[in-house]
Amino acid sequence: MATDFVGLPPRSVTRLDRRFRDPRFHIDWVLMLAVFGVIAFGLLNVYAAKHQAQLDNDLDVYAYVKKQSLAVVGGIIAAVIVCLVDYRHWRDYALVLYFGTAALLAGLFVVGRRTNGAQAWYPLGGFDFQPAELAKVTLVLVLAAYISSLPEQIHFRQFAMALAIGFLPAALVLAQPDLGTAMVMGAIVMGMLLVGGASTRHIAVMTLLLVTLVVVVLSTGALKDYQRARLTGFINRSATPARVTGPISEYEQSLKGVQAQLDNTITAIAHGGLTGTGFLKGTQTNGRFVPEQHTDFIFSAAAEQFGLVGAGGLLLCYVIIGVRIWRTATLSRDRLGTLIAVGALAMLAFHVFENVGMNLGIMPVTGIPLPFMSYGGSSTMAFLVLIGLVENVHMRRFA
Amino acid sequence: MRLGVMAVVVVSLFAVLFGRLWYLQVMASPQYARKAEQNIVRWVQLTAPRGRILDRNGVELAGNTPVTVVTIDRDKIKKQSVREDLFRRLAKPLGPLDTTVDALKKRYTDPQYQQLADLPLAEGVDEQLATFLMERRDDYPGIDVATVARRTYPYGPLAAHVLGYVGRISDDRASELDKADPPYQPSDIVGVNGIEKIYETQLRGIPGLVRVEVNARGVVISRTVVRDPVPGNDVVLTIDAKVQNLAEQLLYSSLQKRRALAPAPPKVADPTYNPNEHFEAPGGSAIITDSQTGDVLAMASYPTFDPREMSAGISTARSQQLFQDKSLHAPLLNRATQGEYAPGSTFKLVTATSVLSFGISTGGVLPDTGTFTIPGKCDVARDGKCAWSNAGKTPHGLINLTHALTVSSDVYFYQLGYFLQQNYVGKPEQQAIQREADYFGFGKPTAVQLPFENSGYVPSLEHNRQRYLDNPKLYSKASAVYSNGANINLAVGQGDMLATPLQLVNAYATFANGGKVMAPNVVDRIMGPKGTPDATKLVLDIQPREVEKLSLPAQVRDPILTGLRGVVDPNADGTAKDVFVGFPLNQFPIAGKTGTAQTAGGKSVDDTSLFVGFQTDSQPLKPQYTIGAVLEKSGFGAQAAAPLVRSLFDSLLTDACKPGPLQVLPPFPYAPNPSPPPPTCSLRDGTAQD
Repeated sequence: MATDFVGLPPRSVTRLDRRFRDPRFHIDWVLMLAVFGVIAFGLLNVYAAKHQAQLDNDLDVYAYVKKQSLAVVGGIIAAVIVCLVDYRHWRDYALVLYFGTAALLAGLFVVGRRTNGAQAWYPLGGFDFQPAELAKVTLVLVLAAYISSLPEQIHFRQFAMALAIGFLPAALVLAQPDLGTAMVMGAIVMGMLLVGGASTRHIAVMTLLLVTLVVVVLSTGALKDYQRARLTGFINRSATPARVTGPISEYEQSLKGVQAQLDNTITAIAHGGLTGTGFLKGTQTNGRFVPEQHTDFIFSAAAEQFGLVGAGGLLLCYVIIGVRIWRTATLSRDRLGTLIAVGALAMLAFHVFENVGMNLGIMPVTGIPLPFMSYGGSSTMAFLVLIGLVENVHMRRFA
Repeated sequence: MRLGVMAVVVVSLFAVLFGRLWYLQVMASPQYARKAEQNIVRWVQLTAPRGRILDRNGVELAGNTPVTVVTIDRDKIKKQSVREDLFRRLAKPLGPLDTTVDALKKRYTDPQYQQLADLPLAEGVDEQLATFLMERRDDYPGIDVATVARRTYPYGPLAAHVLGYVGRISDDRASELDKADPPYQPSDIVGVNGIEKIYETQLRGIPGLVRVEVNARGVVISRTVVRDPVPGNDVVLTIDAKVQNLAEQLLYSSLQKRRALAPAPPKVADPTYNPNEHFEAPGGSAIITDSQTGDVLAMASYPTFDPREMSAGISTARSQQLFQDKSLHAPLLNRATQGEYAPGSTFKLVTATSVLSFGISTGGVLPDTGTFTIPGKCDVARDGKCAWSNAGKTPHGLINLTHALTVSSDVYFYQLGYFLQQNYVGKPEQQAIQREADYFGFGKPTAVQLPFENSGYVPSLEHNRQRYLDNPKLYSKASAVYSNGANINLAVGQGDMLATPLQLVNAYATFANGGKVMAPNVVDRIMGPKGTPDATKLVLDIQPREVEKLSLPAQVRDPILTGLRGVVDPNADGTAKDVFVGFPLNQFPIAGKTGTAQTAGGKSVDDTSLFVGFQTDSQPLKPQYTIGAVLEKSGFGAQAAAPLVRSLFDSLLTDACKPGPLQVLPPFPYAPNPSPPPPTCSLRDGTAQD
């Protein structure tokens, strides 16, 4: 465990020693390489997913790539700023940031506008800012700060406190309604509590409760028909739909739409085969059979054009990113660093599994982006800030 | 420890993803590849120009003409409001073409128009309107003007029954043609009748194929012409368009002439005679064939129709009218091959041949007192009736077979029919007439290259039984017998005996050529598509088709031939002697037979007028014509049918009745119930003789 620092040598003043401790020499370049590899691949696929539609409408084919590149640059700048300040100082601002983002989420109900059934962003002149993306990062920070202040064995009241910390933003997000992001927050809380020392019993009961909650939400009228259809559409997808004789309910209609959409997504992925159709040669991608292919379903564009080689390579990159973050968690000089890395790992892993799983037809359709791939400024910047936090922990493991 | 648990969870999640990815992209990829293809590829067929139909001299009887069509890009009218607004604004300029907003809306959803092709809004648009629309393309977004080929018949109704017509493929035809490769589309035009139907596969050509890639919204991404259309082959007929034209004119003029007349008063009192009742003469048929080869030079049928009406897109109501309106007398029926008539006295050729072929002794001469009475005790159940008379009960005295043919003595043939039936019970001779009729091709299709040919009917015990068993609703059980009277009637081509005009002409041609039963040909050959390197290629050369060879030795042939020559000889006492006055019979010897067939009503005004004539000189290498005419409700054979046949012989052999030039008709308007113009020569009058 990375929580025992008793053996560390006292601060030294030798030049070599100072150089050894200088964070600038401990940047995790493997992590950076993997992240920027995925970002570059993402830009290629955003272009591929959008170029035909842009051509058809006589619009700039590079418009989406340009905007996404801008978000990447902004994200890098934000990440560098995050890295410049020691993560232990960030702990002091954790609460401010936490309540700040919570306020932003709450503010959406006042000024947010209704689009796609979700009240999700602030329009900031050409850039739509989604506080939910930032909220996930601040949740990681505030939970790391809180749990690191607790003893090794977490009591029930502390466990409940951690849950409460997670509950505030999750509830605000769920009310938008954005079930996907709420689930991510759940994963973050559970992952960090697991590593932070919560009792197995608490975690098991909590997991059970969450599953029950999901089932209850799905089976009662809490969700709109189209939402329920999106969440359940991946089950029994291949079953031939029964011949409808009477009037067909809104749920069934939505279900058919979702299943047809998933069918097309899976067809596109399978169409890629081993080596793919080639860049810009994906007939299903060019034909726009898969909706939201530059955002939530970008994985299918990559899988069609670049095949198992490309899509498998992409998954491998995520594995490398995951492994490096996990390694950071083990190497961190303190519990705070470990928990930040664990939170980042839980958030990223859940995002990738849920998004790719939804593309592959084994997870419900919840609109959460694929890290570093999906088009979208807020999420790209949020993930880069998250990587900045992890780098912060990694480069200061001796400082 | 806890970190290790987390690592295991994350790794196993990624393993699941990778496994699923592997399954989809490697194991299940081929099955999804097909779906991916289906998602984006649509095939659109380009109709090939239909092959032409030419007469024996290369005159184009059926071709294609470019027609201007206004089309609309379907992508531009996807939105209902835009569509309806456009249709409303378009209905006005397109108004003269009967294009209403409702008609346009109906077209939009009509499955017969291909979904991926521009939607045709109006056909046959004139140049002025096309220019008007093209100048206002901004007002009518997506509108375009295209040129498509439409089936056209330059001479309108000329030879309409032989050519047939085309129409949009019906469900029945589609299932009939479902093995066609490439398959037919719901919008395809196919031959519905005549040569157009029989040679559909030759005329169709090979449709072009366009591979269309579409996206999820059905918007076309790319079009690639995979195969250019290949025009259909040209069908060359044996028909001579000029002779056909004259035959149609003469046929119509003959009928018209008869309509002005009432039957002559009968020599003996007839209660059904009404001097004010004119011949109706509603229709008929005239056929010219080459006796040696079976080639059909002309095949006229009246009333007729204009196949351009069908090409232009006929309405359901009009189509039903053509089929069902009794006052039109079935204009679509090809009376030459589908009309079934009692052949009357023209059938005596068969009776005479049968008797002579079977070597049945008639004792040389038989008495003709004007009426034949069943000898001994008459049994109406057995004999049908007890007394049969000649037309007008004219007695001919003691006559032999030759003379009986010349003067058309019914009583002579009644006696033959009675003897055969009475004296040869259970022997082959009892069926002599039926057998001979079968040899001559009666009671079965002639196998001419025309659809829906009828078989006619030769009555016999066996046939009558079968007829009853096949259709017990239509025929009574009493009809399933065969009485002496039936055979007496059969001997003179009456009773249940039915023949098509083509069967009748073909039987005489068989006698004329020495016994070869030829299947008539209306098609001479099929040539490669026009405008291609194959244009001069002989795709199919149709040879004369000998179906059967009858033995007609001199002792059979000569007495009959002499009798039939007498019929037309102005110096003899034949039934048509007045008709052939002035005809160079020495140069072109002709024989023939009149027929006046009674119909169900028994009134003389309803009698079918028949005549078949044939050339009898045996010079080789020169065509030998057999010409027949059958005119409904027109009276005596010598008065209506014989003069028509005489004029046709004139047109082919002498200068007396040369066919006039053909007139190409303007594409519009077509006559709804067309009738030919008057012929270039007048018809002779014949005497009122059977």
